[in-house]
Amino acid sequence: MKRRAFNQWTLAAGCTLALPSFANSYNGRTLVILHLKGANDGLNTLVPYDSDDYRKLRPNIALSADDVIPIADSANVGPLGLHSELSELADSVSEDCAVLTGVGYPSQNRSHFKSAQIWASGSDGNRMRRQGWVTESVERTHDRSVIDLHGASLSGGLDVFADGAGEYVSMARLNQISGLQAKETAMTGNPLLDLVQQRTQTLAKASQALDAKLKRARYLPHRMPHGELSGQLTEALRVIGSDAEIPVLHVQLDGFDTHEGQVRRHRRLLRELSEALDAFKRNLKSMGKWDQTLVMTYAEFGRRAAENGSQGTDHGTANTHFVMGGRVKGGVYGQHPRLDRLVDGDMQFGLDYRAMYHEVAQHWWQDSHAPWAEFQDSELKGLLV
Amino acid sequence: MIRSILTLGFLTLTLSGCNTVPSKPEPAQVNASQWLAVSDMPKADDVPLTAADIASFLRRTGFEPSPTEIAQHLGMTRHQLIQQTLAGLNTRPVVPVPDWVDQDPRYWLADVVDEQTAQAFRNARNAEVGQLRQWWLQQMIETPSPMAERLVMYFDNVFVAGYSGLNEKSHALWQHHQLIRQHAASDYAALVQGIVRDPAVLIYLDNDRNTKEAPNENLAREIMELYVLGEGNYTERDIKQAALALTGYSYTELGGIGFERQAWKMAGGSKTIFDQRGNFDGDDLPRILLDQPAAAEHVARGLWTEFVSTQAPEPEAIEYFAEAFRASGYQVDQLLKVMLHSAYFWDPKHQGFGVKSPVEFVVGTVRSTQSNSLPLVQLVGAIAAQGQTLFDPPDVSGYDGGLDWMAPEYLVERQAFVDDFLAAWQAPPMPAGPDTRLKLTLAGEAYQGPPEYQVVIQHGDGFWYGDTTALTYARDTERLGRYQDDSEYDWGQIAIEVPEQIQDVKSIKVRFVRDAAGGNGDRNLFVGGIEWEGQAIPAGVGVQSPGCSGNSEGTKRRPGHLYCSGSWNVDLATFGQAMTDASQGQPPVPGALNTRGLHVRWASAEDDRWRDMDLVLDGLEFEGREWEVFSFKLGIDDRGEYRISIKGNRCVPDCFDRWPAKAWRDKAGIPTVSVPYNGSQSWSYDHYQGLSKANRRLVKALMSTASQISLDSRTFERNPDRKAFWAEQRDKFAQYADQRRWRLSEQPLLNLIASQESMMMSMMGMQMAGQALDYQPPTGTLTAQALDQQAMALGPLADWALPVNAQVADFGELIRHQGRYLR
Repeated sequence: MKRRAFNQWTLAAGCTLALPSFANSYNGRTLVILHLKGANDGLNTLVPYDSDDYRKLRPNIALSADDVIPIADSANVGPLGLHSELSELADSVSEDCAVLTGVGYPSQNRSHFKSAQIWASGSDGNRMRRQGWVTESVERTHDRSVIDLHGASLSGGLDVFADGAGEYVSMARLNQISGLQAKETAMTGNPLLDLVQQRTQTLAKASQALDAKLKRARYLPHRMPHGELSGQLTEALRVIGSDAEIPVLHVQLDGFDTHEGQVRRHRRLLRELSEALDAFKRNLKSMGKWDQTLVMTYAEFGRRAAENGSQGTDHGTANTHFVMGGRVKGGVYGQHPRLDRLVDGDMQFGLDYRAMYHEVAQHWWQDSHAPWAEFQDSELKGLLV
Repeated sequence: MIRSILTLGFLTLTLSGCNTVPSKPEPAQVNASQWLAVSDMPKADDVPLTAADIASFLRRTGFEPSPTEIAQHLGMTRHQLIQQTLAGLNTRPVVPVPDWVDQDPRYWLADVVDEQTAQAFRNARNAEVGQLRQWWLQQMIETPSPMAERLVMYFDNVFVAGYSGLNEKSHALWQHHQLIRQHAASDYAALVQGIVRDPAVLIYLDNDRNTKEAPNENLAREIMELYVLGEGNYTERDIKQAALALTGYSYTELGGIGFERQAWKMAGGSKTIFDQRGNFDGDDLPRILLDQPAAAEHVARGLWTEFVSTQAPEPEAIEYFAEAFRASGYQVDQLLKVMLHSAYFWDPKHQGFGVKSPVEFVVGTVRSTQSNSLPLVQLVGAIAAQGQTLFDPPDVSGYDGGLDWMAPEYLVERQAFVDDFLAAWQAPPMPAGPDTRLKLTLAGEAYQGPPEYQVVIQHGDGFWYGDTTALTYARDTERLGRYQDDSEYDWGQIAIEVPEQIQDVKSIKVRFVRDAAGGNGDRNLFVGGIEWEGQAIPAGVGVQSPGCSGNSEGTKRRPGHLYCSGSWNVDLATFGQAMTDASQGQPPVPGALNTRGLHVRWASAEDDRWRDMDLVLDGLEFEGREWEVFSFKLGIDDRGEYRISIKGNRCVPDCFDRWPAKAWRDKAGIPTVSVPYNGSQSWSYDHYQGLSKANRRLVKALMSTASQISLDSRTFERNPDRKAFWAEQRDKFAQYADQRRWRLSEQPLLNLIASQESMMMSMMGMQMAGQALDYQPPTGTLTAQALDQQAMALGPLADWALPVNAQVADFGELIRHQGRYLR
């Protein structure tokens, strides 16, 4: 609540009052939000490998039938395949991995920072919201008394939780917040110091609650590979495996801003993504937690349909995203953008990303007050079961 | 030497750059005193200051002050304190600059050598940046003008060019830092003017690939959105047009990293940016931007947050500051003077409402306690753990600062740093002697304890074993995760006392003992290199055993990366021999092209429109003349003529002392001489005829090198399909060169001298890393006890030592207080 007061004070703007729809116990579900930071190239992720338009747009970096694993057919661009480095994900498309194509929003903003803010708040290029989409929903649906924390960021800084009014922590590793002692502090009259002290208290409380639980979850059933994302997902596994009650985790894989020399870098990133997510899933399955876990990716924007002069791609529009989990019905969702009808060289999105938020709010959190109903899209019907 | 040549090059280019804008008469400049005299801005009265006032002022405009520093200012009035602070404003470094900044490692080498050597080259550059981080930190700790360092830090975070986006170009980073340092406290317009010619910025924001055929808007966008104007103060059209103006603003690696205008990439024609229209180039853009009202407001807002408060400013305050800044002709110190004299700055509601950045917090802790008990490498690591990597913000928007520094994990690390600091402060570790024979450059990762190392020396009488020692500053991977990138390693230098009686040393080994790893961390040791009796030995020349598999990227092939128990070893005899071999080439031969090497930098594909091969001589002496670097092209034009081309800006110093009148000149006025090996028309030889006799002999000699070109270059490793084509063409060039008219001598003219030595030197970046072991706060060092006494002399701590109301018993408790995160 102090944070809320602080917000009002700095921004001179009121906060909307949440209408509570609390469940009286935590249902054990975890949403893992994965940022493909720098903006993944969706067109070389879910690839229309047989399309002449595609090859013309990307004479140097187009992937051929040998470089992909076919998974679907599109009326707009012909057969679609996943980049062959995503072999583990491709294997699960028939089960629990959904691939969403043509995802975007109106009036694309091409600034990394701005567009990340837009995704975090559920805004678009024409209309900016103040609240965070995830903090708003998770605070509305989870009373602080039934969980350890509203959310934890494992990716450096509070990220999508920065503007939340609930209790959040960020940490590079769980051990970082281990063994912290709470100290009674009084309000000081300086809102900054009060915020610092409040966060320190939150940390100490979380530390005490988690320390006991985490002792139980020391060893993982399956080995996690080395890498940035994998390191964060290892911590996520410890959280989930220990029954720590944290409904949202934020992780990221950085390096997708492939303006130059894309082919090699992209290959390495997708390999890391696929291996890490696969190992994550296998561990959760062994723990019996996969049905209670939902992973969804986001990125600032897609990349331009045409390659640039340095064998890379610049900032564009519509993109490909993944949703995975034990309750996800695999397959390809949405219509791949046409490549013969580009507007200013850009693909046109067919699926507003907030339709995903709607599915999560409705079917994952049962958050009836979420504002995403207007973006509901029949393309996503049956995504979450 | 190199520098001065480049500067001359800049000058010529600037003069020849065209500018069709009618120049407006410059308005008369009004300095801050004049502005203050006539402005109705609410001003702060000149009143006597308490210790608390002085502490607050020094904390907000600089770093957390020591009791001694506060005592030095007691008795001053407000205006006197402002006056003294601004009079002393000086960004010139007080810590000597590292040696390597004046040496050119020849970045183009990394493109022609094999991958392992290139890796060593990059490691050397990373180590230099590691050292630079410590250098900057030391500079902030020792400076007598803390406000100047805050300004440097501020502008560094606005004009972001992070090292991880610079392709290991440590020298570009250094130049960038110098540009900022030079202007941070004075001429802002000159800073912006310098930014469009700053190689680091041009690399970081991809402007080296901004061409008229494929404009890249990255720099144009960020210079408006982030650097100079701020979001919302421009249109997409302004960006597109500015991008065109910036085409061809690129850099060269020849003769040191430097700015280069590349005429063939430049878009001519009229551009409209905001309300101005003209045949603009990059040099016009800064002035056009500074003509926008948003420009001065952008700086005023930024400096408000930096020096006044994280609270939103009173709107009229920004208007006043911006107006004064414009009136002064964009002089930063004049803006500061107005800001410090304003009633806004002194309003109690703004005091204690700024958040110190991690570097400010750490530097302030060290300065205010007058201690030097933690090594710089550990301070740099602590700053990174708190969320701030010097010279490498996460993206071009820089660190957001303010509340972002108060993310929970960073709060934890602030406390962890204070704990480490207090432990060392109360029981300082023994510093190592400066004259030890053996020094190690080490970094490490800790997991359930730090990595431990041991030195083993094989000498005439057997073996000497050093103590097994923990690397205290290794990154704790259990808490912070592993280093993601080699450039993040915190390299420290450790001095090892080797007894005098150890003589006739044969080999030196660094052992990593007791490896450990688990699901959430790893214990590793990294050897950057060693220094034995003054001789630097980079890790790359050592041998590692066993070859631990390391990570999936095949790191076992990289000596010095000890991912599991094992050792890194260097045989001094072998190393000495390698150095001797490297320094011994052919002696120079009169009349020959004496060079360290002839390399193919790049070769086009067979079906490219221009079929040519870019060659570079690594240093050249010919008939008494010398060049640091001389490059030329062999190409086949569309008529099938085989040609050699020599372009004006591809040699250092200039390729020819006099260029023929008929040489081609591009839009930037750079001349090119092109001579056909097999020309069919007499005018084909016009360029050649226009050269002096000595220069004709030089061209002939260069033509004759065709037969000696080695096609083992990296460019062919990357494009193996081009090799056969160029092998065939090379023979044709050689055949033509053998015609009587071109033949200068019966002997091959290319003479390789000491070809490897300079290459070795470029790999030696490690030798300099971690030189700075000792640092001194400006008011000297004191014991904890003596400091406590100094502090008490100023009155009870609660009265002056914190920007918030709180009770603290002693200096130890004060340092732990979270109120110290604020200013």
